[in-house]
Amino acid sequence: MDSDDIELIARVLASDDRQAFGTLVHRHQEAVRAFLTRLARGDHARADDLAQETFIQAYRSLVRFQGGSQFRTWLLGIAYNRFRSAARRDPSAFAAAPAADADDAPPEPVDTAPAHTASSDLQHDLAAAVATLSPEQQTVVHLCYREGLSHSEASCVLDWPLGSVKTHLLRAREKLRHHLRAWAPG
Amino acid sequence: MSTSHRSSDSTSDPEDAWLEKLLRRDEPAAASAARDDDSTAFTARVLAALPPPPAAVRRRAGRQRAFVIGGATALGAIIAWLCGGEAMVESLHEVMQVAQSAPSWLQAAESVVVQSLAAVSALAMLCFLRGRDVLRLFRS
Repeated sequence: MDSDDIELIARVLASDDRQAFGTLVHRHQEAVRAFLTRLARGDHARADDLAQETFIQAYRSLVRFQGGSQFRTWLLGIAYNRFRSAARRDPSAFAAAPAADADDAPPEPVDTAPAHTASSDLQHDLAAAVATLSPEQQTVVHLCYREGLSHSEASCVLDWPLGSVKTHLLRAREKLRHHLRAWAPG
Repeated sequence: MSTSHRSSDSTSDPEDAWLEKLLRRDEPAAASAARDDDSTAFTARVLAALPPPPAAVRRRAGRQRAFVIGGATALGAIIAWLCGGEAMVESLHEVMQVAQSAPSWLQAAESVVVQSLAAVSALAMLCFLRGRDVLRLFRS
């Protein structure tokens, strides 16, 4: 675990140092908000509301944080629980976005890539490829690739069996490899 | 993105290195700069929404209890010392005069009783002052 995080957490617990908690929020808010934005299907306002709830709950529960995992992993776990609770309360708010499902017609893979340096093209292709994944696959891909979590850490965050995480990731990789093959080297 | 990526068992397949690179690509610097402002605003929003800290709430409740209990005890102890203690000392003197054979232990007992009452009064006053948070003035 990041020693700076440990120090900041100790300061919050010892003397209710809100500036230290603010530093923790500032440091980890991007990961939490990006994860929740992914879960909320791009709804930034809803994701920010959930992120705020996540940090408030983290603040309340900080005394129970054992330090057995990364602080960010612990936060992402809280964020996922907040999302699940919100989705249970109001399923329509988190209904599947019009993104294509895996079994729907996927976007045609790019056969030629005349401008590999054009980041907008790459971003477009990435977004289209990721949109072909199921919500579970998108979530696992986000955690393992974007956040750099290990399988076991993703398993802890999502409270899924390790095998499920690996299976979702394997299938996601197959789809992404197919849809993004134009960007593959060689 | 600002988070550093450490090695992960999710990318053990070397054939997927290019895929991993695509998915973990860094975002444009301009986007990062814009996000900095946004993250500062978000942090301020979270801090403003934080509830009163549980520890502080407990401390405040503890101070209130100490204020009530300490104040009542101090008052009671002072009254007891002024009235009962004085009467007790007088009665002890009377006993001492009657029981001339054992003046030393009676004197000692008298001293213990009076000093105990004084100690209880002092402790109760300390609790009272702590409840009023007066001691913090001396600490700071």
